[in-house]
Amino acid sequence: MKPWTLVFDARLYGSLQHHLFPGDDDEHGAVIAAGITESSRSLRLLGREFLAAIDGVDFVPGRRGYRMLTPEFVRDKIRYCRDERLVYLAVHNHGGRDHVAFSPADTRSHERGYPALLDISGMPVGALVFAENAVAGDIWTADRARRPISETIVVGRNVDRFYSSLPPPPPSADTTFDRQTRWFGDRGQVVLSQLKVGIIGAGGVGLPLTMMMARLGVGSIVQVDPDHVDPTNLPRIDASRVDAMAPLRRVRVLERFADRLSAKKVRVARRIARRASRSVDFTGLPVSVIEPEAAFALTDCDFLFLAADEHLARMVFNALTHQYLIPGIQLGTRIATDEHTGVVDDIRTNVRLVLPHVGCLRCSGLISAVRLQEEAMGAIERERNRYIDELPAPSVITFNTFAAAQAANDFLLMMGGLMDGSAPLDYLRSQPHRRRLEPIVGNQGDPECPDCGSGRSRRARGDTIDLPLPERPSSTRRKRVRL
Amino acid sequence: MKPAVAAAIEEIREGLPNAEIEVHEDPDGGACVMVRRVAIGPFEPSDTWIGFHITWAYPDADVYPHFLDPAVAYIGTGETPNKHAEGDLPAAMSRGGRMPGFELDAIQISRRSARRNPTTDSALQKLLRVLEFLRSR
Repeated sequence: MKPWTLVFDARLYGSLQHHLFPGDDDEHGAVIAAGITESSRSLRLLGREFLAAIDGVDFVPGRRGYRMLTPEFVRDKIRYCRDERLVYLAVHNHGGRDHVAFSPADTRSHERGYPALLDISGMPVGALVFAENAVAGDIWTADRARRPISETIVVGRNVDRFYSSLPPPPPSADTTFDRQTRWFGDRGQVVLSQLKVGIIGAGGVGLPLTMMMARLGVGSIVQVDPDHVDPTNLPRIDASRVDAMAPLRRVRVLERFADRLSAKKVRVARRIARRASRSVDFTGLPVSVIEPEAAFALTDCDFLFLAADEHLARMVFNALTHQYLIPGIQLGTRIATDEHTGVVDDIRTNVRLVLPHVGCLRCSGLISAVRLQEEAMGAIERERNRYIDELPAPSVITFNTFAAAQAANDFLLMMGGLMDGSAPLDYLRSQPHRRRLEPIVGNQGDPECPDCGSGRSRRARGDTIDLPLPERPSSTRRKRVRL
Repeated sequence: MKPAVAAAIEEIREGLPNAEIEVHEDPDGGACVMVRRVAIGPFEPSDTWIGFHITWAYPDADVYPHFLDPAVAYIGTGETPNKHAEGDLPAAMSRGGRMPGFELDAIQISRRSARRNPTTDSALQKLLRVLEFLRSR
C-alpha cells in the first residue's frame, strides 16, 4: 500500500502554525484545501489554501468533544473543496511536543461525519492534528478506507519533515560516506538516499549535477534531454570522441549519420551516475521535457534542477514546481559578446531558487511569450520563416561547473535543513570576470500569476489540472487521479 | 485541439461574425487559422485573407507572426522600407513567408507582443491589433 504524505509551502504552514499556536495553550481549528497527486511511490496531498475557523464563531465548544467546527463552516468548506476539486482536511491542535495522535473523541467524530463528506466532495477527505513539531493525519478515501499521513514536508528555505512521533534513529550510513555524515549525520544520508531528483538538461551544467547528486548518495535521478553528443560538447562534458562519433565526421557526407549515431546525452548521464554510485537508480529520458512521459516522470521528484535554456522548458519547470510544490533551482551561464566586435560584454552565472512564493520564473519575466511561440511552432516552420537566430551561445566548462556546484550546495543545505535562517532567497549572480558573487533581489510575485498566484492559479493543484504540454496519443498521457 | 486553442478560435468566430474562418489542426494540439474576407486598409485588394498559427503553448505563447495573401500590394502613401520586385511593403511586413498549415506563400507580418498577459490577452485581440496596424499604414 502506498504511503500518504502531505506537503505544505512554508508560508501556508507558517500561517497555520500562527493560527493554531498563538501562545494561549488552547485548541484552535481550520480547514486546509489540498491538491493531490499520485505516483508509483506515494499519494501526496498538497496544501493549497488555509481556511481559518474563527474561535467562538466557526470553532465552538463541542457537544461530544472539547471543541468542534460548526456545521455551517464545514458545509461551506466542503462545498468549496468540491467545486475546486480539492481535498478537504479539517485541522485542530493538541498540546505537547514531538508526538501527537487523534483522541478517541476525534476518531468517533470522523466516523460520524466523514462518510457524508466523502459523498459530497467526490474527493478524499480527512483530518490533521498538530502538536509542536508533530503532525498526524487520518485520510478517508471513496472506498471508505482510512490512511495515516506518514510524513509531512514543509517546503521553504529548508525542506523540513514532521511525523506523528519522532522517527527511530536511522541505521548507520555506508562508511563510504563517512566524511559527509560527519557533517550532516546518518539521518541526512538516509534522507539523501530516499530522494528522487529531477534534472532537466544533460549538457555542460546538467552533467556536473548528475555526478554530484550520485556521489552525494541521492537515491534516484531522473534526467531529461533530447540531444545527442556533438564534438563541440566535448570540452565541457565527460564524454568521449566516440560518443560524439568524431571519427565518422572526418568524412563530410557521413555527418548526418554521425549526428544520428552519436550517444544520447542521457546515456552519458547514466554512465556518469553509475560510475559515481553503484546504488543510484537512474532514469534517462531522451526526449524534451515538454513530452508528457518526461514531464509526468518529474512530477514524482523531490527536487528539480532546470539546466536548460529553452523557454518551453522554463514554462514546464515553473508549472511543475508550483503545481506539485516541488522545490527547484534554475541555473545557467551567460556570456554576452558585442555582435559587431566580438568583445565580451558580460559573463554571469545565475542560480535561482524556485519555491512556492519565491523566484517564480513567470513573475521574474523569464518566460517570454514570443520565445514560447517560436519554440512551440516546430523546427520546420521556425526555420522557414527565420524567427530565431540559431547561432550557438558561448559556453565554458569552468563557469558551468561553478553554477552547478552552487546549485548542488543549495540543494544539499535545503534538503538537510541546514540553510541559515538569514540566508537570502534572492537569486545568486556571479560575475567571474569581476570576481563578484551577490544575491539579486527578484521581482515580487504577482498575486494573479497563473503559476504561483493566490487566485485561480495552478499552485498546489497536483493531478487535478493539466500541465502545459502538447497533445500526444493517449498512451503517453497520465490519467488524472481518481479516488 | 487543446481547449484553450479551441476557445480562442470560438472567440474569433464570435468577434468577426462576417468573416469566413478555416481551421487546420496541427499534431500538437494547436491550430492554423485562416480568416477570409477581412478589410485591411490601404492595400489592393483590401478585402483578403489573414492567417496565423495558434500553437499548443497558447495562451502562454504569443500569436505571431500573421500572414497575408501574397497577391496583396500596398497602395498607401507611407514609407515602404521593405523593397521587393513584387511590390514594396511597409515596416514589419515582408514577402517570402509561408502560411503554416495551409502551405501557401504569404506576406509575413511580424508584430510581437513581448509583454503579453496570458490571462487577459487573446488571439482575437491580437488579430484586431494587427488589422488596426495594417489599416493605419
